Amino acid sequence: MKNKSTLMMIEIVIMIFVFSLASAVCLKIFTESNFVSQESLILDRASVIAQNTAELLKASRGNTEYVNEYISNNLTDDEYTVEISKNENEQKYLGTAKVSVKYMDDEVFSVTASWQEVSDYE
Amino acid sequence: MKNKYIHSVLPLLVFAVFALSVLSVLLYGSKIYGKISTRDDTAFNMRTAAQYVSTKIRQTELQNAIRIEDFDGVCSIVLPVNYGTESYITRLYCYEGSLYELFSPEDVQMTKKDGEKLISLSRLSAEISDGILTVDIFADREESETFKIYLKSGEESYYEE
Repeated sequence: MKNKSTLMMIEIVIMIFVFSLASAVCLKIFTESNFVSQESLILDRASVIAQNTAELLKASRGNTEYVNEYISNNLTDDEYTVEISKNENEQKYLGTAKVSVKYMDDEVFSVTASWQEVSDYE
Repeated sequence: MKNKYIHSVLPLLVFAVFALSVLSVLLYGSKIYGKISTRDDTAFNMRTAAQYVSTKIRQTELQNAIRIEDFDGVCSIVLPVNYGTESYITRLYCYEGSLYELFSPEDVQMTKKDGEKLISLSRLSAEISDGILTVDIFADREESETFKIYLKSGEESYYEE
């Protein structure tokens, strides 16, 4: 009887050991997948913010003061910040700027916006 | 006697611990899976809807100025297009938890039910101001996304030289 229960005990301990290894791997994968999904959501949001900023730059023909003010007043998530750096352009009538979106001070997405420097009616 | 009792109960206890561990890992896994699945579904619906609406607007806006109208009590984006002498419109609106599209001659009276269901989306609202179209889309769990489109053919830009 004693031998039988000892054997059962050894069996269960081995089972628990194997299970612990498998569960450790599973938990790591679950946590990583959650992290990856969260990151893709951040990237999604950042790309929308960059796209909106680029559209505003086009509409205002590169008026960065207006765009910065608009973005800071309308950005609902405090974690995101937008940086606009105008490029020196050789083409006279074409303005370009790099729009970078940062999440918690890390750049997650950037896009180059272009606009016509002169009025459509000139 | 006591020793015998311990020897028979201990494996059962260890097995109970094992069963509890299995259950907790399964619960944790299903919780994470559910969370990821819901999040990805929402992100997919929002992204697809946003891209679809913006592509439609960009395709149409060079021909005619687009407008925002109330359509049977819901906000709709109206994209006019001319084929020869005939005027048609494409309406984009949300109805019964989905994004709908309705293409019809401009002078024909249609209802919300006549449209074609595109993708799951709970609400859509839009406004045009200073030549910029702002569209707000809302997913099932009241998560929202705002995107802006500069209308080349729209109202006068805010910018005056």
